[in-house]
This record gives sequence, structure tokens and C-alpha cells, in this order.
Amino acid sequence: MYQESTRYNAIVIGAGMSGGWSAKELCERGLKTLLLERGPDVKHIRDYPTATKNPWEFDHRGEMPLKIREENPSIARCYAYREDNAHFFVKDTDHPYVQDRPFDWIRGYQVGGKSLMWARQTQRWSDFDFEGPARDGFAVDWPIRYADLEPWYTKVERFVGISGNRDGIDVLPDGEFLPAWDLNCVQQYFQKSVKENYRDRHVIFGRCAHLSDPQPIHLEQNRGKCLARRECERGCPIGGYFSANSSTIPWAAKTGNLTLRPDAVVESILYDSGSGKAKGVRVIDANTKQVVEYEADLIFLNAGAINSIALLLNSTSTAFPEGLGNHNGLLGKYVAFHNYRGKINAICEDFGELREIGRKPSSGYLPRFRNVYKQETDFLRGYAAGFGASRGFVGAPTTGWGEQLRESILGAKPKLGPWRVGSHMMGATLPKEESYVNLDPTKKDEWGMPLIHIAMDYDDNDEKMLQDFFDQFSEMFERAGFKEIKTRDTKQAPGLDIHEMGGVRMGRDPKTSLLNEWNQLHTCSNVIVSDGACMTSTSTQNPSLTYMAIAARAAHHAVDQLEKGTL
Amino acid sequence: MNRREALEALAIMSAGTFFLGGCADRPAEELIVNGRFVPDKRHLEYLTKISEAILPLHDIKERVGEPAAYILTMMNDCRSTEQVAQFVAGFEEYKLLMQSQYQKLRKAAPAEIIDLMQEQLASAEISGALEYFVVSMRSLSIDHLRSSELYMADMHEYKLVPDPYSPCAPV
Repeated sequence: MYQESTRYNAIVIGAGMSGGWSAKELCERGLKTLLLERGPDVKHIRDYPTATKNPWEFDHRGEMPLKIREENPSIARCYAYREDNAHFFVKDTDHPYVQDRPFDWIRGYQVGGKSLMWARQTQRWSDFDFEGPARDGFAVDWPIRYADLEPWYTKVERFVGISGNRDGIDVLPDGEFLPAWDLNCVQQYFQKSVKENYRDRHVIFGRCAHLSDPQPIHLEQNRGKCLARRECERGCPIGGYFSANSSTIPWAAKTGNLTLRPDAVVESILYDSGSGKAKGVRVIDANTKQVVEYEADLIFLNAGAINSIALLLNSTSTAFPEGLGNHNGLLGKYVAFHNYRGKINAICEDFGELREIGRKPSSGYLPRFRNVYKQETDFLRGYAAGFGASRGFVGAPTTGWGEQLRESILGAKPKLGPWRVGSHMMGATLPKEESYVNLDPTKKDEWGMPLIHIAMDYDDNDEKMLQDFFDQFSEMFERAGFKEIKTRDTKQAPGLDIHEMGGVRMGRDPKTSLLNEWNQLHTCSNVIVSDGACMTSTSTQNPSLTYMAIAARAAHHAVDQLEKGTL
Repeated sequence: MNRREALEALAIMSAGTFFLGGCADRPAEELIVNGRFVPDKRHLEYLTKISEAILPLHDIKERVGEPAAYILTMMNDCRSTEQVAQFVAGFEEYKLLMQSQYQKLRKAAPAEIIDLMQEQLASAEISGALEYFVVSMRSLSIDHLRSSELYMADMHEYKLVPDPYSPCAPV
């Protein structure tokens, strides 16, 4: 039943990190743009219900109720899923999927998507990353290099606002930075220790999407200076960190060219065999289940890697019976993620006379140092790592009963404990053909969409890399004089890194890839996939900055082509 | 009088009070609804009284809130139905022991409430339910205070908007 048919210049599917950028760029270029989001609207400030609450104002003081944890085991394992922001996470039970291999899928179905709850780490890729597959012989060669993306990184960074230092490290190119926060004394000490002991390893401030010194472009977005509250995942009413809600979407709306349509589940992209192009999308209203079709010259797919794959697979036609653009059977294959299994913790017995006051929104970061200039290990690629150091208050033991117990808690102010240090690995995993996302042939969800199957897993390369992380960081910690060093393999399933990538990979050869260097489907050029699904390989950096740069670049190129009449 | 003798004596006493309608407590187990403990007014007062004996907060309640409400919320929402049942069974056992060894719970002094808990924890015969009740009451009372505004703001210096960042400040 068709209630409505409306035409736009462009349709963007997914109003999150990359979709916001697609919409912003298209609207700025004058295209009437429909931005579709399967979840509800989340208006900046208005829809951050917990943003200004103190921890003691929550019923369970931060602990998630047992029923929710039991019914939603995947999101319950996510570090960011808490009582204060649970409303931004998709419950496992609301949107089931099939884990052909264990996979904890963390999703945010709302306007803004996961840009509301992201970790805000923004490190550029370098040619050591883009050239990785070609050098090491896995996946396929990226059709772009750093030089292709560099101006777009710059554009995105200026608009988003990135705090960081110009560190001069070739594996992690510098960008357009606002002032960084300082590392604390133990982080500075470790930075010095690593520099003295290793020529090619660096500890830097983790570049992050926080406004340390808002510039006119940020004030124009009505965003203010980050107060380092560290309650970011609740939504920031100041706009101190970047989200699509505070930044790209209202910016796009200001042009007068944006139509935002929340609660719109895109069922498929409609293909016109006559023109060989996509002509629009079919949408199911999330609440009423009514079906609507929209038409446009350009279709941008920014639904998040797994959902973008699923949508293409569900967009079948006579020309593409196995899914739109799937001319070579590779759609949904070669998906990958980041290996976050390794953790290491220790005590720093020095600096007892010093402490940190206040908070900062990011931490230390060690860019990849393994297999950069040459192959030096028995595994391919490498890992980056975070580095944190903090000391908390330690209360006296709670002893006794009655007044004695009260005295033990309130009688004396808690003392500062020792400095605790820790790192976690962020390892590249290799895209493999046997890792896939596909659709269930019979089971469907509430909206009649096929259930999504996911299969990704660690391999021997990942296991060797994990052991190397333990070995190398144990050595670095020992050389720094840290004590009580303990390594831990969390054995977590893929997914909790929240960095699923690939499945609609870019490449030079249409036989072995699905997207060209401008993120257009090789076989349906007005469909542009510019979210995580386009990634040919994963490298080690948190990927959102790269998604945003790719999305902006792809949008501009598509509009250029449209204007020239070559699309 | 050991615990078993006390319970036997109490059973006899309870039979006697059965006919004194209005004076007797409802067994706590009757207050479990759909796996959740829904105390009546009297049992809520008991929880408050026990918590207050374990960890007196009467003069600072304005800044720490009601422990009984917190204890109930955490027990019902964050523990399993089996644990709720164990907690409630232990609560009932505690009430009966109090009555047999000291006096009715509603009249018991804080020292008596604590003494009975300590005695039972020290006893090799303590039931699993009673131990769970006592340990939970104590730990949840402590958690309640430690997650309160008073403790977090005054003792741990928590501020929603923190002081300006200083990476290497003297202690």
C-alpha cells in the first residue's frame, strides 16, 4: 500500500556519524536531501534526559537491572552501556539477529546513531594503512591513498573540532588540531620511558573530537567548550564533543534543503533496469508499518556497516538477484573488526606526591609500531594501544556495626591510592572470505525484514598478535619500573570493539570489489556506500574520522558528477 | 538456647498469637509478588530499622536518602528471584529469632538488632537464607551510603562539572 511518493535530489540512509556528513555536504551543495533514520528522532539537548543528573540520582546508582542484563547479553557486555545512557542502545531483544559465530552487535537506532555514544577517538590513517593489503597480500588493494583523503580529513577535523598535538609521527599523520589536554605525570613519565627505550614507539595524547578551544565554526554550530565532564555518552548539552545531533544534522537543516524522516526503516533500494541506476528507496514506517517510496538521483548508504550490507542484500531485482551491486558474489564477505581482547594493568609506585585534578576526555595513545617499515613478526599488521594512568580514592575498610561502621566510612576522608596504569590493544584483523554478513532465507523481524546472520571470528594471526601485545607491553611496563604487571585476555567475542567494517569493500577491480575509488557501486553508480561497509581493511585506528572523511569526499564527487551530467 | 530451640519455642508462641489478629506480622514470604518483595508498611519499617541499626544515618538522611527504598530497589531489580526469595526467607527467620531471643522486632533496640546479627554470623548453624539476609542488609546499607551525594561529593570530591584540569597537582 503506497501512501506517498516524493522526489528528492538525494537520499541518505542512516542519520549517524557518516550519514550526517553525507547530508551536510549534499545540503550545502544545494541538493534537496532526504535523511532517513530507522529509529526515533533525538534532538540535541532536548532529548538528553540524563545529561545533567548526578550519579546518586539514578535508581540503581549505575548498575543495570538483572532482567535487562539477562535479556540483552550482548549490549550488557558493552563498556559504554549503563543506566544513564541505556536509552541510546538497541536492546538485543528488540532487534534480534543470528550469530553464526559469537558476535556482540552494539547498535544505536536513533537520529545521531552511535555518534551519541562513541569513544570520540579520532586518529588519521596513513599510507602505512592504505598500502597494507597490497604490501602484505591480503584482501585487495585500496583504490585510494592518504593523499586522496588528506584534504577531507582536514575539512572534517576543522568542522568537528579535534583536540590533539602535532606529534610528527609518520604512521599517524598530524591534522588540524585544537589544543590537547596534557598527559598526567605518570603518562608523561611513561612517554619519556618509552622514548628512551624504543626508537619507533610513541606515547601521545589520544586525539579526540572535543572542543578544547572552540573556533568560530564551532560557535556557529552553537557548540561550546568541553567541560571534561566525561558523561559524554549521555549526550552533551554543550556540544563539547562532536555528534551528528549537535553538529552535522542541524547544520544541514539550516540550509533549508534537509528533510529528516525518523522512524523510517528502509526495506530496499529500488533499481531501474532501464537506466541501470537506482531510482529510490522503499521505506516501512517503524510504527505504523505503512510503506512509502521515495525517489532520488543519488542514494547514499550510511546505515552502519552491517545494516548497509543487509540493505543491499535485500535489494534484489532481475538484474541483481543476489543483492544490489552484488555482481561478483562478494557482497557481505570480507567483513572484519578490531581485536580488543588484550589488556594489561600494573601499579606505578612513584609520584605519590602528585595527583590529577579534574578530568580530561581522552587518554594516552600508542600508535602502531609493529610491522610498520618491514615485516618483523610472525603475524601480519599490528596494533595500537591506549594508555591510562589514574589514582582513585581508597576508603578505609568498612569495619564493625552501627556507629563504628559509620565512623569507618565517614570518619576520615578516603586516601589517594597508588597510581594504576593500564593499556588495551586495538589490533587490526584481516578481512576474510569466510567472515560474512548475510540474510536468513525465512526468518523475518517485526518489519518483515530478513534476520541478519553474522559470522566473524579471531584467527591465528589475531592470537599471535595478542601474545605479542602482552609480551611487548609487559616489557615496556617493566622498563618503566611498573609493578604487579598483570595481563588479561578478555576473550570477548567480536563486536564489542564496535568497529565492524567491510562487506561492500572498495577496490580497483570490479571483479574483486564492490565500490570504486569514489564509493560508488561498480555496477550501479548512483548508489554510494560511504560508511564502515566500504572499508577494504581495518588497520588499528578508531575508524569514525575516516568514515566521515570518506563520506564527505564521496558526497562531493557525486554532486560534481551530477552537475556535469556524468552520473 | 540455641537457634533450633529458639525456633521451636517461637513456633509454639506463634501458634498462640495466631488468634490475636492485628497484632501478628504477616510472614514476609507472603509479601513476594511476581518474584519481587513488596513489603507492607510494617515490614518496610523493619527494613528501615534494621538498616538504621547497621549503619545509623538519621541525622544525614536529607543528603543520603532512605536506605530501605534503595535496598528494596536493588534487591528486586538487580538480584535474581531466587535471591529475593532467599533474602525474604532470611528476613522472616531473623524476625522470629529476634522475637524468641530478645523481643519483637518493632520494639528491638539497635544494639539488640546488631547483637543478633553478629551472633548468627558467628554461629555455625546459621541458615543460608539468614546469612544472605544479614550480609545483604549490611552490604546494601554500605552501598547506599557510599553512592550517596554526601559521600561522593564530600568524601570523593565528585563534581558533575569538574575543577579545571591539572595533570600533575601536588597532593
